[in-house]
Amino acid sequence: MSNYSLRRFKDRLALWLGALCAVLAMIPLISILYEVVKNGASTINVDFLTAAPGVIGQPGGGIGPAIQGTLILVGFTIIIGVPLGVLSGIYLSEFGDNPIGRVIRFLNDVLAEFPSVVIGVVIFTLIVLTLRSFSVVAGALALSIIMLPVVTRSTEESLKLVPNSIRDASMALGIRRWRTTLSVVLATAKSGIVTGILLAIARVAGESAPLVFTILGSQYFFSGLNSATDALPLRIYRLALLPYPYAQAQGWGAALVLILMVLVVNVGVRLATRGRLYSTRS
Amino acid sequence: MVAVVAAGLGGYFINSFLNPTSPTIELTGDGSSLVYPLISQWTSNYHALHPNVQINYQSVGSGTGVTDFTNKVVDFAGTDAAPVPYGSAGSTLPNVTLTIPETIGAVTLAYNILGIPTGLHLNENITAKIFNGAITYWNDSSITALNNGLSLPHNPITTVHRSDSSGTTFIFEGYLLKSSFWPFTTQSKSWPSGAGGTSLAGAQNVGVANFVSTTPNSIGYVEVAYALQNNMNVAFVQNKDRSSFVKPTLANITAAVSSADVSNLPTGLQDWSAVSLILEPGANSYPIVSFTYIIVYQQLNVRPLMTLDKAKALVDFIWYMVHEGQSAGASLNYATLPASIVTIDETSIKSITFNGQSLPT
Amino acid sequence: MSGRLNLQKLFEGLKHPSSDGFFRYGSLVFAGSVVAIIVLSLVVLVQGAFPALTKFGVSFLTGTNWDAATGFGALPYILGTLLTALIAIMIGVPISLGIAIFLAEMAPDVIRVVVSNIVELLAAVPSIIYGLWGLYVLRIWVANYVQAPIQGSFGFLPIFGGTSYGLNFLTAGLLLAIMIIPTIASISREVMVSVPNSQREAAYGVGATRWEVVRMSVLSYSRSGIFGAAILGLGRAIGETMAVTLVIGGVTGASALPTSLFRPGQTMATILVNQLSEAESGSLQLAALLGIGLVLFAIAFAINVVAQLLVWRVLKVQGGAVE
Repeated sequence: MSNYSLRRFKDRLALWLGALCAVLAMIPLISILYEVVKNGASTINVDFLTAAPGVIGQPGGGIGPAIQGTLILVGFTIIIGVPLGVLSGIYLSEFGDNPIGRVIRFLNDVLAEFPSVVIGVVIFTLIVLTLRSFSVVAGALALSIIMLPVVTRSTEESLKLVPNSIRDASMALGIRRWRTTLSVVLATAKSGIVTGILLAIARVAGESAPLVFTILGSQYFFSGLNSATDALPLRIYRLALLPYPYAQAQGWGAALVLILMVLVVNVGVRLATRGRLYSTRS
Repeated sequence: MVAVVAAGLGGYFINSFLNPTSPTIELTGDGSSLVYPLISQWTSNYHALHPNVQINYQSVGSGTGVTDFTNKVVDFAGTDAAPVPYGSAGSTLPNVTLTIPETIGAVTLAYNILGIPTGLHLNENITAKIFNGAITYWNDSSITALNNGLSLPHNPITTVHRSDSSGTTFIFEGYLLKSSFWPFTTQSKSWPSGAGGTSLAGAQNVGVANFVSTTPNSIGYVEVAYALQNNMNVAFVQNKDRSSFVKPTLANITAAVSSADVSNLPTGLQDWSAVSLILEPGANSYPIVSFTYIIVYQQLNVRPLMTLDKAKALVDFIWYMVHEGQSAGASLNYATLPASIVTIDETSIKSITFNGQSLPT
Repeated sequence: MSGRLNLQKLFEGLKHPSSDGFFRYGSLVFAGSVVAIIVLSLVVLVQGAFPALTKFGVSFLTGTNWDAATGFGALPYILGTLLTALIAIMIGVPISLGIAIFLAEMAPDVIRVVVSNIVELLAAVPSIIYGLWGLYVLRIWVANYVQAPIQGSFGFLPIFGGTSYGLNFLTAGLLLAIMIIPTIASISREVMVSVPNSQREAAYGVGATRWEVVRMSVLSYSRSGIFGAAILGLGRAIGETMAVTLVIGGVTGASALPTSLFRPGQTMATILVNQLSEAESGSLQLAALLGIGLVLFAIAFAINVVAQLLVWRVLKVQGGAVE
């Protein structure tokens, strides 16, 4: 075999190996989606989505409180995490080109990859034990700590994409810096920021480790900020271990609901930003 | 599009928030998974009787229940291992606590061996050896000797124990301690980390039941209600006088309770940890039986977030559990409390106060 | 120019407080919350773990007992974390690299778009769903197609002992590998894409095949970035909790030591989930668990710092050249 055909062969081999790796990675995703749909689809109906769980061991009941709990937790997480994240991102983008900013940016990236179980442990020690109850508040605080660095990072990146010409033009008109940032620059970067927030929401909605330590779970609908609540990821975790066939079916059904929520947001964001990633309105 | 989605979510969220279907009174408890099937039924029945009261009980294991109770993050807790009373040496309770037995549960040995139906004969010695890794194959001679005519496979045994701190483990260890083949000396809610054999650990009774059901050649200790509900194969356990192998039915569990010595029982303020129903005498007494307890502060005002209404509801609920609720246990194989215990409980419940005020029952 | 910390301007601003200064330092306060959170977590963990650390000292990290009578040692869980992460990296990195090279350099356009989107969707699946799938699907697959055949032929080797039927270190490691592939693949791909085309063109210019171009120009340039991506994946594998809890078997004490791929075990993250809520306040067990939390904090912090340095450096150096 000549040297050239050997090289050609290696080239082909590399291509096929690469394709094989891609296929290997796709198998689990396809299997997960298949299993979730196969096992969960049959349990989905209006009753399942809105009813409270029944007595343990008896078939029936639903995941209504879990869905409501997830929505409420995510809602409060947004209220806490988004302003904090956006303002942090503004600082890093507009004023962050200095040593303090670099440290903050660095630590922010570290926090983004942090094990969520450690955050759950800290919130349990600080909030649950102090407030003397498992609560929505504790859960939302834990989730907002997870959401914060993600929103900060995407806000900063979106703002940095806004050309300086816009800032200069606005300030040349005499508009103060803070007004420029908030009204003009933020508005221009809006779609990028919202994209980042939506992706953070999708991530936070699926987190379960922090919830184990903070919300306890409940078979009832929302009953107050200071009360225990249920949430989809926690519900799936509890249902996953139950030996009853009805419970396992419900677990897959809840997984289907959660995965739909998360994937719809992700795919939606992806489709919406397909053409617009590097363009800004001017 | 984004605005639509945000508005939709926001609308639902605000709606749930502003119009919660929340009733006026809400109690939170957690703990024992042994009693969970029954408490789940009770909270549902009680809610039907008193629609303005919501009792949220989470099955997280007796250990977590007692810890949450001690940390005062729940209103009451369920535990199968009675805590050391307030004031006694080694107690971790912060205030005077009442220990109220509310029902009687039984621990079965559930197993999953292909081709072997329910009714494997076991006793405390064989069980101790299995769970300590001294016996490693199902067709070990000591097991087959006890099970004449049963052809067991030559498969390695996988045992299943509790990964969390568990009252069921406490009860099971009480049974294992009756055998000289169990090398450990303490009875605790934790599975001894030196125990041998290949052993999986599941969370709460349901976790053990799940792992036994899905792992071939496994055996684990599971509360009878769960074994019943999941059609698991359970062992018939040899009774105290070695006359027969007893099936964990309601009748046999009740027989164990009836044979028990119910004089000299402690009051609600004293230590119940020495009270044991393990290996009670009687031909039909199922050997692995135990009380399970509700623990609650005697002065309910020491629990932050407690109100007079909540206190009244809690007292009423506990009263319900030991009186009208007793009949609900039969279908799940929970034995009813003997009258002498109900009397002790009534004294305990009546002594509960809120801000010095005694509560109606 | 704007935003650079200028001491002169700073003092001027303090002399004449303005809404701009207020805005700048106000947003700085918010940005500082990240620092506050990390510091607060560290304080909580150190304070909580103190009793155990002082009582056991170094033997906290080397001991294997886990009960109130004989003491608490975290070694089995540290080793468990390392073993599962190692399996995850050994399986995940090569596959991720293959995907990244395939997507960055070799795939035709349509396939590239489809596959890269699927890989990124994999990253979005919540970990509890991976756990659910792992418990009911992967576990059975490993038990029947990996554990059984290997134990049939090589079961006498201690590294293959144990009758866990799929709830073991191997399943956990495999599940982690699947979970970290999207991360490593997408970052590696970004790094490769940012290699300037001039490098590739130079290689093509001397007649290299596509694979040789990749090997000579792209991979050597991207080495530290890919390494950083792998480290980030490692960080994720070490911190992953819920999915691993469901498939690893949950044992404690000396029996949790990873003596075999097919034995059930425990990692630092899973023992926190399993035991933190039941540990009594003020007990040595709670202190020991918080100590494990502290170790996890330290490892995660160190790994992420290293990863950020590597990935940052590469992307910043090469990012400017691409436009």
